Amino acid sequence: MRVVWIASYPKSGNTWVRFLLYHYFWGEPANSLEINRRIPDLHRPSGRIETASDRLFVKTHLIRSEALPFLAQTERAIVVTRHPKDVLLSGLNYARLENEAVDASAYARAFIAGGGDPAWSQMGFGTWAGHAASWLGGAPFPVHHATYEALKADPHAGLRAMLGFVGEAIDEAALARAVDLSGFERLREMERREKSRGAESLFRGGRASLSRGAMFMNKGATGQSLAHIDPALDAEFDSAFATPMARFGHGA
Amino acid sequence: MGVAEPRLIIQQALAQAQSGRLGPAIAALERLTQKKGAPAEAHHFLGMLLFRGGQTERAIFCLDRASKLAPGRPQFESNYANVLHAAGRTEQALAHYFLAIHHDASYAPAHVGLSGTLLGLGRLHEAEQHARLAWEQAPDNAEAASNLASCLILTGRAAEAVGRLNDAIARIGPGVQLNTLLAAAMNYDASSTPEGILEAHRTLGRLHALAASSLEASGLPPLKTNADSDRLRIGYLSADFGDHPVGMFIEPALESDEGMAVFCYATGPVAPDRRGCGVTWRECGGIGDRDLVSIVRADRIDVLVELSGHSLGHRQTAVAARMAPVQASFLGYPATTGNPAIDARFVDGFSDPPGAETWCTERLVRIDPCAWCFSEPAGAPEPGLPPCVSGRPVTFGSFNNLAKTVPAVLDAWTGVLAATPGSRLLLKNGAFIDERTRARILEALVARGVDPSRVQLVPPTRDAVGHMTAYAHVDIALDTFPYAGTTTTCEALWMGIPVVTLAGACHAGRVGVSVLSAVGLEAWIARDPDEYVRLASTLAADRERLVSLRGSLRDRMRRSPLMDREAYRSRLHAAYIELAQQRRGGSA
Repeated sequence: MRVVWIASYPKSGNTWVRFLLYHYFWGEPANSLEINRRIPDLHRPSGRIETASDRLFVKTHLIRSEALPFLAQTERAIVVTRHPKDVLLSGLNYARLENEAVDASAYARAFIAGGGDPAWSQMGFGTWAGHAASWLGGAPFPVHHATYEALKADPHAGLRAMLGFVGEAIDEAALARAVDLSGFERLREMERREKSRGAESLFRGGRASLSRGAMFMNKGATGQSLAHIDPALDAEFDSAFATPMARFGHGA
Repeated sequence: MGVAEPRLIIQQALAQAQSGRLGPAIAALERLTQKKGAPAEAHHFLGMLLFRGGQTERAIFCLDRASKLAPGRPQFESNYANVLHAAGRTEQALAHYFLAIHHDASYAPAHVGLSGTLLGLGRLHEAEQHARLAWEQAPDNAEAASNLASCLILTGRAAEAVGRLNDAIARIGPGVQLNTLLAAAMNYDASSTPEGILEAHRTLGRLHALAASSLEASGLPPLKTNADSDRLRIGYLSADFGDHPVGMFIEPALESDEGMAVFCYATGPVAPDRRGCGVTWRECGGIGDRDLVSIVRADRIDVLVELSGHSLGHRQTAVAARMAPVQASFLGYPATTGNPAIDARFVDGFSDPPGAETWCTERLVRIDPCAWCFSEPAGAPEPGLPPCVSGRPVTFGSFNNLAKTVPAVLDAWTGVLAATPGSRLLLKNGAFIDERTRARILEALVARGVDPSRVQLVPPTRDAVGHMTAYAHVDIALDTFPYAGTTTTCEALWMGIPVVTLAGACHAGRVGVSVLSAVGLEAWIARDPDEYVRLASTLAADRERLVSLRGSLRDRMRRSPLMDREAYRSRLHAAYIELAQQRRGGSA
């Protein structure tokens, strides 16, 4: 078996990439949880993995280290990074899916001070910069770097590059269909449909969060500001993240 | 290197370890793994033995090596994951359970370990799924049964847990792990009878006595009395001296007086501000039963008070081996322990009125008028106005553990909402960190006819101040039954919120009766579910009363026996003296 990692820091577009790949290879799933069956999540073992070939795409948020499982079977990795300010805001939305009382300013300042969400660091995902450096610097296997921003700007090109990276001959019709099926509004509608009927879903948050307007597929936005939380935050953020952002292709 | 030789060395090493010779076994495997081409098994079993010997980091190194040398062995990955979980590396553990299950989806030990890890993370729905898979694959696995029962209990399905546990015990045979869960589950289950609960605890007590007799047979220091000393020696044994309600409730009793020396045996963390008070602290975390018994016996304690009952972190086998001439149980458990070596249990006349002795193996010592002493919570805000007087709907609330929210409670709460048009229900507890658990409770209420827009399910807040502040959104607190709240009832009253309770038959269902009676609020004690609904809806209709209570309940508590620390400590210490004297006189 050859493992192809889909590696990213949390809230960086990993789920979107999994949908793109799933839609390309297997078409439209009956429900969102089907994604886990073909492109499993290392952090949510389900025991129902089906592989059509000896290649297995696996999602992870772990930093790359010697402790990473499947190292011997790792063939290559698709690494997705996203501007850390958008990651912060998406992380805040995610925290509020679980608990609407999360204080935005406190969350943002903890994120800035910790170089990422401190809870994620504790889970072995590292800081935003540490995570990117671990996967994009010196991996002993081929790595394809996709940025969320580029993927959003041209998802066709982004998916085509990923498929080329894993050695697939491109089926343009399947590619176009995959991009269409993975559109933000389509995925948001799938989330709304599943949650409103109380079904199990890949999208975290449940019906209660839906009823107060909070969704996993939140905005998919890029180039956001933190000023609506606190006017001082953007400067604090840029000061803390300027160097790693430049290093990993996310201009301030 | 020949093929047979390493296998033989491994087998011999495992046999040595099995017979208790861990050191030589580890040494043999270390020599083997230093040779070129040593098989993955050698690294794996060396890792497992190192872990057993407490060398966790070295164990992880070896287990990782084995995992890389022989990828795809479910046993290797699952064991490695278990060790990573024990070392607190949870995400790494999940990754290796993933590998184990990926290679063999029916490998039960991986599902068992995974369900335990997910339980610890509060991912109760996933934990239950894997526990069910484990149970299906290995119906004789006590851990699988235990994990599944834990999931069911924690999500308010005690009756189903009782059924599962009875099935498992019938199949596997009795044992401390399953019988502890069974006894505990019955406290939550509305269909369990007092007779059944007593019998379950008697059985459990016998299991601990049996384990203790093995401990005694293997040699323990003698139990010596403190008869020559002028000062009575009191010991408290608990895993909950940290940030836990038991620690908060026992704290007023810890201050020693002239005639008493106090020892605390902490098998868990201790809150910094709990140290001092002239108490001798003994750190006993991670200590086995034999050592624990030896430490306590060496201190020549007169009265040992264990504060766990059969709750998490209990040491009932050590207690069954008898660590002090008088042993008592207090605070941490809502029923008899069934442990024949526990002589007394501290209660009061409201929680355990005359006749309650029928359901206990211990002598009941009543610390009247109230067996609980509430301490002012740090950082709690001043009570504000009830939300219902500022234009919001009347909000009933319960911050009790979800395990106590059994179907009978949901029925009653549905009745309360129906009797109070436009009202809302706000539930907040730790289990709601799991979205599927929230969804399940919402579905259960919807199935009873409750409009989901009237229900708010809130996960835990990050700190104690946030927790107390959350009471500002509640007008009237609803207690649970048959297992009532203690801390939550006190906290709600402290925030000026009336609490409606339903008096149960046993101690577990009568703590609310005790707390409310201590504060002179007997009017909020219902005798049956209909009265519970009526009391709640009547309170909801009286906005002036709710406003008045908001401003007065805190003072009323301060002036009540519930917060009279001096009197409480005197009563408790007097009870210790009486028990010790009776023992010395041969009648305890």
